[in-house]
Amino acid sequence: MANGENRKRVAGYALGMVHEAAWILGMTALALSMAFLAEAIWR
Amino acid sequence: MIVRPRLDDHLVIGKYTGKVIVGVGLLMIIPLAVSLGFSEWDTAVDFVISIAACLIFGSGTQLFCRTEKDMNWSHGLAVASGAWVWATALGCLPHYLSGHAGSYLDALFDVMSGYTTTGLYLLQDLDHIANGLNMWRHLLTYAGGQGIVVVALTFLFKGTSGAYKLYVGEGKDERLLPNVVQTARAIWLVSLTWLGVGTLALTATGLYLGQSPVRAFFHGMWVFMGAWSTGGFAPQSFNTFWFHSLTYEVVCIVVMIAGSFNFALHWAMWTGDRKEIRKNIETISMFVTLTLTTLIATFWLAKANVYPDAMSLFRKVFYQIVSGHTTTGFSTIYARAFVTQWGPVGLVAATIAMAIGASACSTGGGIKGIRMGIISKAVLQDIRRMISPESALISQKYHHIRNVWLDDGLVRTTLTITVAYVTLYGVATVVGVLCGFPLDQAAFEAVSAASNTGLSCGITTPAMPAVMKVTYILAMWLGRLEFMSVFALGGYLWSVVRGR
Repeated sequence: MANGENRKRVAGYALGMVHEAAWILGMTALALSMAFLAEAIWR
Repeated sequence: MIVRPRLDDHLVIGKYTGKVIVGVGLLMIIPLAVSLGFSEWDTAVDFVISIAACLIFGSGTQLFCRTEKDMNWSHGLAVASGAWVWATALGCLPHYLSGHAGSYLDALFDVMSGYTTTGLYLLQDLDHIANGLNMWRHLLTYAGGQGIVVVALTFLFKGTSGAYKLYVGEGKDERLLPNVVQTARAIWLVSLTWLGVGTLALTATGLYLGQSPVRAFFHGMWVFMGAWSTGGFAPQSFNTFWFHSLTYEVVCIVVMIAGSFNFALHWAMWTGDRKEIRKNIETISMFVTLTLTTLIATFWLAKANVYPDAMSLFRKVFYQIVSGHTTTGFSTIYARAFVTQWGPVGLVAATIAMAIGASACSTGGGIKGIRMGIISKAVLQDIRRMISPESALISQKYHHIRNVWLDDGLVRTTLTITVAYVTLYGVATVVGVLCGFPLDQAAFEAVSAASNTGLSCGITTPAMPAVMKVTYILAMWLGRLEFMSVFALGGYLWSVVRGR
C-alpha cells in the first residue's frame, strides 16, 4: 500500500515536471514563429 | 525611542549566523573532493584553509553565543542578511587564495555575484581555473539560488519557530508545506530532481558534441547549476556561446525558465494542480512581458539585418532575452555585441526584461512577475473605478496558487518594493555614468547587477573602478534579499549605536 502510494506520488512529480517543460517549449515555439514572422515582414 | 539591543539579542543573532557559516564550510567539502579527484593539490589546500576558517568562525560563534532564546522577526531578518555578508567574506577565500582574483575585493565581488545568482565575474583567466574552484563557483550559485539559509534550514536545523523568520528574511515568503523546514526540504527535492534530469540532458548533449565523458558530465552539471539557479556562471569565459549547439541552447532555455518559476508553482504542478501554470499570475505576467520584449528585439534586429536568417535571429534574440528575463545571465553573443550589434532598442529591450525579472520565491531576481501582475491589476481596478458609478463596489482578485483579493495594503507593499528596485537601478546607473560610461550602457550593467542577472555589455571587468565594484556588490545583495532584511540589519546596527 505504502509502496503504491509512493509510486503514485513519484509519477505525479514526473508528470508535473514534464508538464512544466512542455509549457516552456510551447513558449519557445512561439518565439521561433515570431522570428519567422519578423523575417517575412522585413526581408 | 530606539531600544538598544540586549546581550540576549546579540547572542541569538551570533548563534544562528554561526550555524549558517558552518553550513557554508561543510558545502566546501564537495569542491575539496573534486580538487582531490583531479589531483589539484594547491586548490585542495586552499579549500582546507577555507573550510577551517568557516568551521572555526561558525563553531566559535555558536560556542560563544550560547542561548536558548528563540528568534523574533528582527533577529531573523538581521541573521539572514548578516549571514550573507559573513558567508561572502569567508566563502571568497578559495577565490582569493587561487591567485585568479586581482584583489580581495574582486574575490568578494565574484562570491557575492555567485550567492545572489547574478553571474557577473572578475576572475581572471577563467578558462584555466582549477576544476575544484569551478565546482565551488557553480555550487555556491546553486546553493545561493535556493538560499544559503534554506541550505542551513534543510540540513542543520531541527525545527524551530524562528526558522520561518530566517526563511522570510532571505526573500522567500511562501510555505509549500505547513512546516518551514519541510518547505525547505521540498525546495531541495524540486531542485535536486531538476539537477539530475538537467545534468543528464546536458551531459548527453556534451557527449554528442564530442566532449570526453568526464568533461561532458562536469560541464553539464555546472551549466545546469548556472541555468537553474539563474546564476549565469559557466566554466568558460565565452559562457554558453562556447558550445555552439542548438540542443544545448534549447535545454538551457527550458532550465532557465523552469529555474525562474516560483517554488510554490513547481510544488503545485508536482502535486497534481497542472492547471496552475496557465492560471498563475506570475506565469501570465512572464508570458506577456517575455513576448513583448522578444517581439521588440526580434523586429528591431530583423529590421537592422543583424542576423542572416530567422533561425539565427531566434537563437540569438530569444536566448539573450530569456536569459535576461529569467535573470540568468547566460549569453551566446559577445558582451560588446549588445552595444555594437543590438543597438539602443535591443539594449533597452534586454534592460526591461532584466528589470522585471523572474518569479517571487524562485532562484531569480528583479522586480518579479507577481509585482508586475499586481500593479497591472491595481491599474485596471482604478480604471474600472473611474468609469463606474460612484456607488459601485469594484473589487479585483488575482490567482497565485489560490485566488487572492487585491487590497490597498497589498498594493502599497508591492509598490514600495517596486520603487525600491527602481531607485536601486537608478542609483547604480548614476554611479556608472559618474565613472564615465554612457547612460544606456551604465543602465544595462546596473540593472543587470541589481536584478541579479549577470548579462554584461563589457563594463564589468577587473579594471572597473573600485567604487563601481562596491556599488554592484551592494546592489546584488540588496536586490537578492529584497531590501527588507538588509534594512533590518541596518536598523539593528543603528540601534546598537544610538539606542537607549
